[in-house]
Amino acid sequence: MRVIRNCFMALLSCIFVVTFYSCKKSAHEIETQNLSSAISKVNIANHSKWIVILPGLGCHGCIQEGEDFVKKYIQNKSIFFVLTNISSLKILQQKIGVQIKNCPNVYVDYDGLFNTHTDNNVYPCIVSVENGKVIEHEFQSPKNGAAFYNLRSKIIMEKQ
Amino acid sequence: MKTKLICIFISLLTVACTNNTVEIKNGKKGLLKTTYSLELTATKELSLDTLTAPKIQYSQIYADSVGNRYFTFLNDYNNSIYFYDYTTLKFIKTIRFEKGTKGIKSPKGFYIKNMDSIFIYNKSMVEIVLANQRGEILKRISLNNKGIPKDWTQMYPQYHFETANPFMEVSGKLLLTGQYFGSLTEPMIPSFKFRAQVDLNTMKVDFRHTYPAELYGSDYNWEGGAFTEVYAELHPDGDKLIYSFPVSHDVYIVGINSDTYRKVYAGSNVAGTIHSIEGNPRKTDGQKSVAHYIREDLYSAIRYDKYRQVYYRFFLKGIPNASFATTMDDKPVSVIIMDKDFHYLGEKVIGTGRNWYWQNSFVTQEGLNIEYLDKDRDEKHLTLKIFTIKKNKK
Repeated sequence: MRVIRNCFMALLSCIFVVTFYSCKKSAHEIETQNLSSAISKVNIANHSKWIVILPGLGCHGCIQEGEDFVKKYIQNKSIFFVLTNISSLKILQQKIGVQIKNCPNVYVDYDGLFNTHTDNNVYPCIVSVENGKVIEHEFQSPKNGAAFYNLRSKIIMEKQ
Repeated sequence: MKTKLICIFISLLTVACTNNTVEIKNGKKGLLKTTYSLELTATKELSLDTLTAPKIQYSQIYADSVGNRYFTFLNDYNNSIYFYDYTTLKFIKTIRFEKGTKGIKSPKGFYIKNMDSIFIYNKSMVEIVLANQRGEILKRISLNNKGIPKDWTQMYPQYHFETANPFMEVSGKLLLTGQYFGSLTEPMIPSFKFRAQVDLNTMKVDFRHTYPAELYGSDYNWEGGAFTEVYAELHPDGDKLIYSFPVSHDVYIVGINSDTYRKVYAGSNVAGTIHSIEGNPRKTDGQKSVAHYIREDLYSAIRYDKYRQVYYRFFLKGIPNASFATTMDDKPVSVIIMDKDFHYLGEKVIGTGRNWYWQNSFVTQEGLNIEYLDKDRDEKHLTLKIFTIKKNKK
């Protein structure tokens, strides 16, 4: 009888632990939820296949790569650009050599809608979208240094 | 017996999951009497060039030998120090420094001693660079033993210079207030020194002053960097420093060459109890630190007004019911006024961090200058709002 009771207690503990951890959302899930919510509030063209979110403050090197990418691909209509947590739009325009107000595919996020609310919000983010819905996302970070390279490859593949 | 074992197990589990937390109470909340108010008395607006944005990180009022006052500031985009006439607001000149390894890769603060001795903090190398008005580099002084050993951040401070937390020159020494980014472990409390001083004759670097154990000891969780930032001001006596720790209602006064603190109350009439973060510091992510920073009442820079013999201490009121979308800049910004003996005179909420960039604040004979961020998103101007104190009518 005692053995059965002990087994039952152990099973109950396992269920408790599993339930506790499974209820806690992963960072990736939180990001997906916040990105979906932000996208639904912003008018993003249906032909956009990717959203590139560039923070103004955060990982300096990663942001620099992001700025280079924006400079090169700002005319690409498949990409929608979001500039968030900007320190200075004036200096960013100097760096990328483009007047933002002349670019319909750029959204300046003054209200912080695209804050992912995870520690990854210091990195540029690339979101794949289909009809305005998030399919997947990844960050250009020191641990994931090929995100922009991968996006470039996809753009080239699309052209062919 | 079985019940006892369960109790012991639960107790052990509780102890294992609990970290030390501290509550720092404000014993004078609601008891302080207001006798002075802070009034906006002037505005200064500087026209910026196409390469300069407002919300500048570091500025200094530099007076030359004939008494001309210059508002000088750092533009880290083009590695330059800009000079404006503070009275006429006319642009005067820039000093540009080369980027790269032979120049200054990442300037984040400076001190103009004279036009041939300009000390610039180069963040990328954690060094002070001595340069002249032609932008020529004369000397480099490492603040972290050139990065040896690799875990130098456990031994030497890191620096986050702001106008409100400036370089200070005292008795032939350049004082640089740094900090430890994160929670200090108990063994670090007596050994980690957060202030560097550079001897201007020998250019040797020495370190002084440790974190008060009652605030930062006992492995309290102060992760994130903002809670451990130390704001310093020179005491009018000239041989003491005043430290404003964000988590304390008091300020700590210490001799430049002494290690014994004297605590003086310098709090807000509306500040409540300040709490450290719950949980293990190693398991505290950036989001949790930011949320805690937003919720808590916290202090920041302290500035002395030698023309009026009063102190101004910035206070950032917490937002206990902050939502997911609330940012650090949404916190209301107040200025506490105290006399030269730290007796409370009053305080004023000036707005939020969205409009008031208190980090760029300094005192001139005109009053307390604070950079104001207006809705002018074309960033063509830098606006300084100037406040002065006024005695209230009885």
